[in-house]
Order: sequence, then structure tokens, then C-alpha cells
Amino acid sequence: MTHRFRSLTTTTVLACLFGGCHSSPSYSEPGSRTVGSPVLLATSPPTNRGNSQLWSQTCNRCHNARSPDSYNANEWAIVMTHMRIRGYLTGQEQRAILEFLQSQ
Amino acid sequence: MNPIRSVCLTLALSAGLAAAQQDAKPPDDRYVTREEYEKVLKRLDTVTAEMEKVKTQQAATVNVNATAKDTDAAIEEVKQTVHDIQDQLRTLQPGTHTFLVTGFGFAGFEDRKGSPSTFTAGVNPILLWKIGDRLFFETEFEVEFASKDEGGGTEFNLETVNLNYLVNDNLMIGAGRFKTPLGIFNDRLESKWINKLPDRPLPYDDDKGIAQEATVGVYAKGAFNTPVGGLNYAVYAGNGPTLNTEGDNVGTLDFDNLVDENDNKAVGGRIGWIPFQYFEVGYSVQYAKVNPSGFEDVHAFTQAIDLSYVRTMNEIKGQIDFRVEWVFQNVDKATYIIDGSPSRFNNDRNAGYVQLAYRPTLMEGKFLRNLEFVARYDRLNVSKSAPNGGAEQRYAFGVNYWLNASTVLKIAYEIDDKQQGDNEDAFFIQGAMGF
Repeated sequence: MTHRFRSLTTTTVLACLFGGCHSSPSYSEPGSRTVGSPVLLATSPPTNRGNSQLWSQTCNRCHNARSPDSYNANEWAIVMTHMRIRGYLTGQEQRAILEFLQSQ
Repeated sequence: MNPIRSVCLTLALSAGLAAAQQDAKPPDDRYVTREEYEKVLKRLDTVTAEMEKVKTQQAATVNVNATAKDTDAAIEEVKQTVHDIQDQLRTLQPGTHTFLVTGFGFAGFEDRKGSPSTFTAGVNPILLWKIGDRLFFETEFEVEFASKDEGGGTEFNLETVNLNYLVNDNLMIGAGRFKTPLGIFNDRLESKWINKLPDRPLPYDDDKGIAQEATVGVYAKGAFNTPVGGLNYAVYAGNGPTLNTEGDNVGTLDFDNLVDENDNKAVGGRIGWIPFQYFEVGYSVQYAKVNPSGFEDVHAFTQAIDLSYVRTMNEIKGQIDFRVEWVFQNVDKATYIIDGSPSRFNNDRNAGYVQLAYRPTLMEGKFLRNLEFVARYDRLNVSKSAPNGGAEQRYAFGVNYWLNASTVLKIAYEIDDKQQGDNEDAFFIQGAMGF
């Protein structure tokens, strides 16, 4: 019985962690309350909304996503190359996030 | 001829003709006939209509001329404006070389049991050069105060310096000093505005850590998107660590092998899998021959696993940041001379941490949303056959307040539990800002 309960609890927690719960992009600039859905890297569409989600979720893997107005367009081009190297981004991801940041 | 003039001339001629006809008639015949009167009226109507027509035509001609002039002037103005904007843009265009200073700074207070409490501060400027689309150079300095035991004054360290070439979307190669991709803390999380707690976890501690923070060498790294998620990788070769063969740290690895002292290199790498954007798991490895010249053959084999789960969920009204890393190190058995006597032992160690942070980013109230609660357990296990062997474990609890996305105030308390030696509980206050 205890074993069954433990298995059920484990399954529930895992289901919640990896799929069941609603998720939002974790851009946590104070005041930000945007809500979205989880995105698989391989299926991210190259849309501005997709780029926005890619930006918030990719940055938040390591640190709070910096606001698009933290740097100007030229500076973002440098920062995103730095982030591609340090954060292990593909060239496509770098360009998509840069496009989003420069369009804001 | 001007149309108005023509009409006036016609009118004058008509009037003159009428007067002449009137003058030619006998004085008793002064009155015109009804027929003549109607004829003159009709002619006057015709002339008036023609005049109105001519006036309208002339007004239209004047308007057309005026509109054309305005349009030409407007076009000139637009051309001038565009030219001015182009001039301004040229002054802003970066050229092929672009440069940026970024980095982070911090200030804090630390009260550790067994050591004097102290204020501290430092800054890590990161200089970035983007040279065209493929070349990228970056260097990071660390400037902070040194204790008297460390020589006092200000320490100035070259943390990283490397030149990168972006081969394609999935491959980058580079050379220089770079953060060692052994686990993820050193490579991604160590900046003080990113690290959730004021100090470093045990596997990556400055004094007791068992993972090399930075390596001088060459590397290739990159990432792929696949149908089963993202994959990232890094492989490298570098100077690697050397073995401490005497002193208090005998048998441990010395990672400050900046200029190779043993002519032996280390090779290593890491592979990470991101099945979902909020979840990553990775495995790292490093193999090195670490003995200095004249010492017996000794190798070190280090492995690390890491797991990250960072996700914002409506159910918990915020973001959780959960990380686990564990590093395992095997150093071959070797014979050391300790206090004049030979002692043979291996120096196998393992160390890791489990950290959970929660920030209520979806709750009402700005103050609440900016708070973050952090808890961490870290542990270091040292082979009991080695000097000072045994385990150390710590429990750290912290509260952070985020002033903006890259500026944080941290307060933390750490409970230390050692099998050997005195416990070193600590209290921290730290402010850190990424710029």
C-alpha cells in the first residue's frame, strides 16, 4: 500500500513537473506577468511571439532575462554573440532572439 | 492673347458697334425694338458666360501651377531629411569591429565563524569585441581585495581571455583561457548577480573545490536542435591541473596551472540535453595526467552530472529554479612524503550541491514579486585515507530582493557540519549588479 502510494505520488509529481502543469515564460523582470506555453526548441516557429518565448525561456535557463531596452541594437548584436558562446545557443536561436530584442 | 482681354475687346467692339448704329438712326427713332433688345440681351448673356468660362479656366491653371510647386518643395524637403538621417546613421554604424564593456560588480559583508568578519567588494569587467560575423574576442578581469594572508592589496586576475571563430550555426572553435565546461556552475552560473547565494557551492569553492574553474587551451563547442530537443556539447584540451605533492594540500589537484608545468595536457568535454526549454541534464568528463616532473605516474579522472529545472508555473504563482550538480574525482594512488615518512594513498573525492530557489513572480504586489527564497545543500566527501579525509556538509538559506533583472540584494545564513575541524557557520549580506 505504502509502495503504491509512493509510486502514485512520484508519478503525479513527475507528470506535473514535465507536462501537466501550465507553464509561462519565466521572464522575471519585476512587474512582468506574461503567460505562455512551453516550447520545444526543435519546433519553435520563427514568429515574433516564438522569438519572444525563445528569448525569455533561453535566458532564464541561467539568469533573469534582461529587458530589451538594456542595450541598443548594436550592443545587443555583441551581447548575443557572447551569449551564443557562453550559453551554447545555435546560430538560428541567436538570430531569432536578436531579431526580437532589436525589434522592441 | 489673354482670354479676358479678348472678351473685353469683344465687349468694347460690340458696345461701339451698337453706339454707331444708334448714332446713324434719325433722332425721332430713339427707342429700340423689342427684337433688337432681345438680341442685345442674348449677346450679353453669351459674353458673360464666356467670361465665366475663361475665369474658371484661368483659376484652374493657377491652382495646377501652385500644386506642382508645393509638391516639388515637399520632395526637396523629404530628400534633405533622408540625407540628414543617412548622415546621422553613418555616425552610428559600428563598422566591422564592435566593442562593448559588460560584466558585474559586487559589495558585501561576511561573518564566518573562526575568521574575522569583513566587508568586501569587487568588480569583474568583461570586454567583448565582435570582429565581423564570425570572429569574437572576449576577456574577463577579476579585481577584488586580498587578505593579508594572501598578500594584501588588490588582486587583479585574468579570468578568461579567448578568441572564438563561429564556423557555422552548430560549431564554434576557440583558444585561450575559458571557463571549464565541467558541470555548469563555472561556465554559466558563477557571476555574482547570477549565483543565487553569496558564496560558491563546495565542488566549485575557491579553496576546497574539486572542479577546475578555468582552463588554458583550445576548444570546440556548439548546439543542435533535434526532434527530441536541444543538444549542446563542448570538447577541449588544455594545460589541466597538476598534483600537489607536498604541503597541507598534498594529494589534491592544483588548478592554477596557467603555464604548463608538467608538460601533460588534460582533455575533456560535456554534453547537455534539453528535452524541454525548462529542463536540461548534462554529463561532463575530464582526464588528465597530473604528476609534476620527477614524480611517479598519476592520472586524474573527473566526471560530473548536472540537472537544471527552471520554470514559471501558474500553479505555484511563480518561478522555481532547481539545480543539482555532483562531481566525482579519482586520483591514482601515489606515494607522498608526509612529515618525513612515506604515505601512499589515492585522493578520490566527490562533491555536489542541490539548490532550490522560488520567486513568486506571478503574485500580486511588486514587493512580493521581487523576493526570492533560496535553499542549498552542498557536500564534499574526501577519501578517508587522505590527509584531512572525511566529509563536510553545509545547509544554506537565503532571501534575495531583485531591484531589477540584474541587480540583487542577498542575505544568507550557512550552517557548516564537518567531520574534521571546526564548523564554519557564516552570515552573508551581498549586493550584486550585472551591467
